[in-house]
Amino acid sequence: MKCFPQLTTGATAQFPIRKWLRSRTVVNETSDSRQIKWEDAGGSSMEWELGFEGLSDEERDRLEQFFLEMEGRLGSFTFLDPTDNLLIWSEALDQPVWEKDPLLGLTPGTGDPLGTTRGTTLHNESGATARMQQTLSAPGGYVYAFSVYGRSETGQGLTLFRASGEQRDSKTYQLSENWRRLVLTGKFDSTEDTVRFGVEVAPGGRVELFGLQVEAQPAASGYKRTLSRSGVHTAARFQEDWLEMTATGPGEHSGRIRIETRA
Amino acid sequence: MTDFPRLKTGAVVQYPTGRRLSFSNQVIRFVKGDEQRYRDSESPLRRWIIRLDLLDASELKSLEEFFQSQQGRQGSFTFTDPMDDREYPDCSLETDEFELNQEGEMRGQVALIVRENRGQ
Repeated sequence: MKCFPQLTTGATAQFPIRKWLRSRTVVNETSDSRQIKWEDAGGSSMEWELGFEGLSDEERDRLEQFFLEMEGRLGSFTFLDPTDNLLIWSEALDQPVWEKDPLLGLTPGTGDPLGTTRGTTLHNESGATARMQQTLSAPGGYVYAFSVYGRSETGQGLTLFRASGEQRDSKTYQLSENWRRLVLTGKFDSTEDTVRFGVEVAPGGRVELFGLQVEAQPAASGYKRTLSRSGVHTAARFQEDWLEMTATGPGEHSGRIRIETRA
Repeated sequence: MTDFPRLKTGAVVQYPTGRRLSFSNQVIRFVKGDEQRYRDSESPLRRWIIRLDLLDASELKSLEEFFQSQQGRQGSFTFTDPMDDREYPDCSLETDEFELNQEGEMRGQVALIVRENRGQ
């Protein structure tokens, strides 16, 4: 799998980032401004403009090599949207995309740190650690920040993990009755095309969760809810057949890249 | 019916915001200078110009979700005019394109136009 490269900082993009969502509606407008509309469901697309400043020689080479490998607009690749959550159904943990151990119970509609009821309670009724995870079609060797808000009235622990192939990284957090954002960041030396993120609850444990989020960057940003689509775009392309990088000083480069995908 | 999303503050719009009223009258001018005018629509058409600045990630995401759920200008939703609190139950987005601009953390910007629909 080819994936748009990360910079040496672990970020995919720098601010400012511009993004366009496009849909296509056929509209017939009458002279009194009434509109008759037809939807074109296959006509929607997304586009990003990424501006880069202060790139090192290595980062410029990385972007240029990737552009050459894709042969401009010809090849398609995976793009991890830097403005989005890479998990699908971030608040609907009963969706099949979340793989769960059979004895891990879910109670949706519990409280959350925003004061609404979009959180979920996980309760492990078994005598062994129970796990819930989601697998992303994204490179195992990238930097990721996996974040979740957690709380437990009985002060129980929650383990966050990231795994790719045989490699695994995890951290256990002690929860309290107050909501706290837990973040697991890191990078594997992996060439796998998938990476898994999940949580583990100890035997008999009961914890409240909200706002599961994965981003391809070294730190967590504000939580973004996702429904049936996430920030993993597996058929993205460069929008142009040219790439221009400007040397602004010794070992310092800037450039602009446009990427598009059919949504 | 879906409602247009509110920001975390509860506001729908920020200053500056605009409201445009338009008619579609027809004017026929004759050679001798007379003219005849008639209305092509029964009432003015309202549009609201909404520019939002300093948005955080969740506010941007909520607007993005709204655009996708509306499928651009295809959908219909209820919009409350922020200038007089009057509710318009059948409105649509004006265009099939939605641009999000993130200058930095908590510095998102969007601009869009809401249009009142006329009954079929």
